[in-house]
Amino acid sequence: MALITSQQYLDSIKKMKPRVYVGGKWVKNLLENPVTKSMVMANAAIYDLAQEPESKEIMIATSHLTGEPINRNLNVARNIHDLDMRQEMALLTSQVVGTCNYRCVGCDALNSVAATTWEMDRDLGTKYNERFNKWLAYAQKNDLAVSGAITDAKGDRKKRPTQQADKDVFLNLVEKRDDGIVVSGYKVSQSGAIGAHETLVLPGGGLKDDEGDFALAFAVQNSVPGLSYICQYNAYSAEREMFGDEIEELGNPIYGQRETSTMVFDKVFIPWERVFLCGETKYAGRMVTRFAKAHRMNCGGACKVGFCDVIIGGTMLAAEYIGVEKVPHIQEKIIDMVRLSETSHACAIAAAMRGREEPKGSGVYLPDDLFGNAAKLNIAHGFWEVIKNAGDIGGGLVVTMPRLKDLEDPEVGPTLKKVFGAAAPAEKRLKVAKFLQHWAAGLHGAGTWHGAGAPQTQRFMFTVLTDFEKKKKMAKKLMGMKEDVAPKAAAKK
Amino acid sequence: MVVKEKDTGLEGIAVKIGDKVWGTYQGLAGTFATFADGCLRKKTLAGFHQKGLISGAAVKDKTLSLTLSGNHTRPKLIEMMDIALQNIGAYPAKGVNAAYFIGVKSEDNTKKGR
Repeated sequence: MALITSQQYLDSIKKMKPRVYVGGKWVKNLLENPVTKSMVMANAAIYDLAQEPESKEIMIATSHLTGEPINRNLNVARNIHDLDMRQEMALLTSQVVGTCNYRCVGCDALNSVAATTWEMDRDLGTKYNERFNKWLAYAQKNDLAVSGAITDAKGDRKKRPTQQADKDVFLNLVEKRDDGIVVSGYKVSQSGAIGAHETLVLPGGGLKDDEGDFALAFAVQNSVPGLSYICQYNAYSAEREMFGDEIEELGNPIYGQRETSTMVFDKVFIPWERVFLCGETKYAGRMVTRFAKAHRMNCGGACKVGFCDVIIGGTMLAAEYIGVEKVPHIQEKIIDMVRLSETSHACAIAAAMRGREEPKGSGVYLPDDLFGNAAKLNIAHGFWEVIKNAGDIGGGLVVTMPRLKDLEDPEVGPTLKKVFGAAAPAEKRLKVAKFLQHWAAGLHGAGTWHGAGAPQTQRFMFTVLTDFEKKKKMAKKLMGMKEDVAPKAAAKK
Repeated sequence: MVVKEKDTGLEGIAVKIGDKVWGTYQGLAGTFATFADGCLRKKTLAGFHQKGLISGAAVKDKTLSLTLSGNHTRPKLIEMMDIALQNIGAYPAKGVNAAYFIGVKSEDNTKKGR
């Protein structure tokens, strides 16, 4: 049963009863709450993609553990082709659901854990990689939806984890037992954790020698006693709740905005068989860095490019519906949108093509770091431009429109149809305006900025990864400038 | 292959009511320990968040004896255990040799299953 259908996933979710809180109430059934349902339906669509012949090469891989076909969301990249198909999966899933592939973070996390546990076993003689492989084979066998949890709440940023007034702002070790560990703390902004079968938890960042209690990586079942989820709540959540079954009123009717939650661990037990890092601070930073390396290629250079594709499509329709599609400055803006998004995709492809085995001998392939960071940093800025142009071409209507069903109101409907009828009927104009509102006035701008790390982290990586001295030498050589001479040496001369 | 069939790291868990096994499940090794920890330390049945549902829990050897408060028919107990085990990552599996057992009963045994 290495590949399950969307219906099998939905059947499993009907039985899953995680402790989930959304906007003032506890949700007993993820499929009955309109907000949580949108997240689950997005996951279901990703399962569907693996069943469709035209997307199989992208969505299906071969397990290096069992030789069985598996969903690529559970694959450890073993070569350049795997990396390329991984970023293509991120592109495709975004084009299809217009929101997160909620298995994406888990996929990049498991690649990082595969690489780093192999390294730890080699260096330290631990058995983490053996454990991890057994967990992964089990996840692959059951085609589990696995989300990833990285970001700690972090508290006062001036203080280290051990100095925080509340230790739980960094997920931490409470107790080490013969049969496992007990952990407490928070992981924030966790995309789709509620609708996952399991979450792969990583440290939030690099750690110092005395911060071993925070060096934790493990897999946790989503309904384990002591684990709760407090979901995001915003205007889009309220709107979805208000419209209930009338989802056609919404910008992304089935799959919604991006749904995240804060995971609250209250003395949760994790058996040793699920623990992949416990106290080895030296490897915490490597685990996070390797995750970021994978995620910046996929999140930045492919996922958001898929979003741009549907935004560009919607924007072109908006232009056609009011008859401005051939106006030069409109065409120029649309070309700019394509330029910005395809530049990021090119960086993702380059990151995949220049990927390499890391660590050597592990068999795990990770993308090129510089190109991956370039993909993410480029789209972080570019996405604002793309949604700006969508709002520009979509017009003020994008944020001033009435409800779609007001068009059917016997009193105001006929008037609205006259008001908003243009080169296309009012229904089409308002529908596409609502779609663009979802993007231009929605959550994805800030989400794209921060997802896979805020741009400052990519700038920092540029400073680390770029050989500026080499560039200066190249410039000097071209100019015919001689190497600098130290002041004392010059004085002697 | 890295993971051989005989060394998958999985464990079988059987659900018993009375002396009879009503279902077998398979999860990653450590699943029974997680399930038992939830019942004993957290007093919580995975997937069921109401307080007071577990009125008794004890582990002896490789068996968890679980008593649920209230009246539950046998089919209801089977359904509850099915939900609880799947919420902890153990999935129905036939022909599994169970290494662990969960014996479950209703606190009020007056309500018999049909």
